Amino acid sequence: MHPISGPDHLLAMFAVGLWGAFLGKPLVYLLPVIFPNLMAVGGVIGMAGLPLPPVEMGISLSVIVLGMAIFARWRAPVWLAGIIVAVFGLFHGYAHGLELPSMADPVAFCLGFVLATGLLHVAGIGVGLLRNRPGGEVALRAGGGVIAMAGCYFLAMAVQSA
Amino acid sequence: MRGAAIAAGLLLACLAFALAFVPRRTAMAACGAAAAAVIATYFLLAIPPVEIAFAGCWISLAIAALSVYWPAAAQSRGWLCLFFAANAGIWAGLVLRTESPPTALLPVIAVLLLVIPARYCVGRGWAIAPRVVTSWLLAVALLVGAIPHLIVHPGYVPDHRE
Repeated sequence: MHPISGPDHLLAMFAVGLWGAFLGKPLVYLLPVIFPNLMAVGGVIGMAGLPLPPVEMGISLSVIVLGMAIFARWRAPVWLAGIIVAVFGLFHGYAHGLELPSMADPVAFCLGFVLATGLLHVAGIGVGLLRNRPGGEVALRAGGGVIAMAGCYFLAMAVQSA
Repeated sequence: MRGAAIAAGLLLACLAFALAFVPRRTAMAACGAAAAAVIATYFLLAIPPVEIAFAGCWISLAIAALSVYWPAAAQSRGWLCLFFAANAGIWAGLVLRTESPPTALLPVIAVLLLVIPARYCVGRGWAIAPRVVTSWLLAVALLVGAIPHLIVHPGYVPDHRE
């Protein structure tokens, strides 16, 4: 449930889908493939105890960058969008990987958090399709701005607690 | 508890999605082969070492997940499909054999019915949907498959409820 109950994860994963919908094919379906798989790699890194730069800041930064990308209607090249989402997926997965050892059922935990992530991407894509409606693009860009502002709040909290 | 039924179900779900990309007759034969392999393995073979059974399950899931990206020429080879279906069935049966009661067989085998909606999606030109879902299952396999090699997980030893 953490991808859904944690607002930082929720917004980032939703924003991945939203940005993918903005970018169109092939990223609309590449990003929901890249993010969960790199998140799994990040989870393995987290479980292995390998060091990663401050994770909470990375997660906050992911919310800001993805929100700003939507707000600015940034049409990043396929390779760059893939790399950005992959790096952020690593951070999110790392955070999940650190939580994993205390769980009782690893298969259900992994299935739950990968599927929750994927479904949040799909929800983002679904909402992103509204951009074809009148006024939809403006509303979505405004939503991206709100996501970026929320990311700034998360970053301030992360810096404060560091 | 290691979630044997979930693991076997995920493997057969991945196989069902992969079979959405092969000719219909081959897919039906492969489903039958997988179901027969599950039942035969469960009732005829001895209880395998748990780690080997789960490792084989996750590796087979990864192969099935990646097979949706194989060239059409490879996907249409009937004997190859039957081989991988039987392989998936054997590993699913072995995993179930480790801790699941016989009553778990039917729900797990029923997961193969996912081939019907998956084929519907492919037929309607939405082939990307089963591809994305299999990539999520690949992420789950990567995560869960790595756990035994990284940490001593509380989910892998009997807890106070067992």
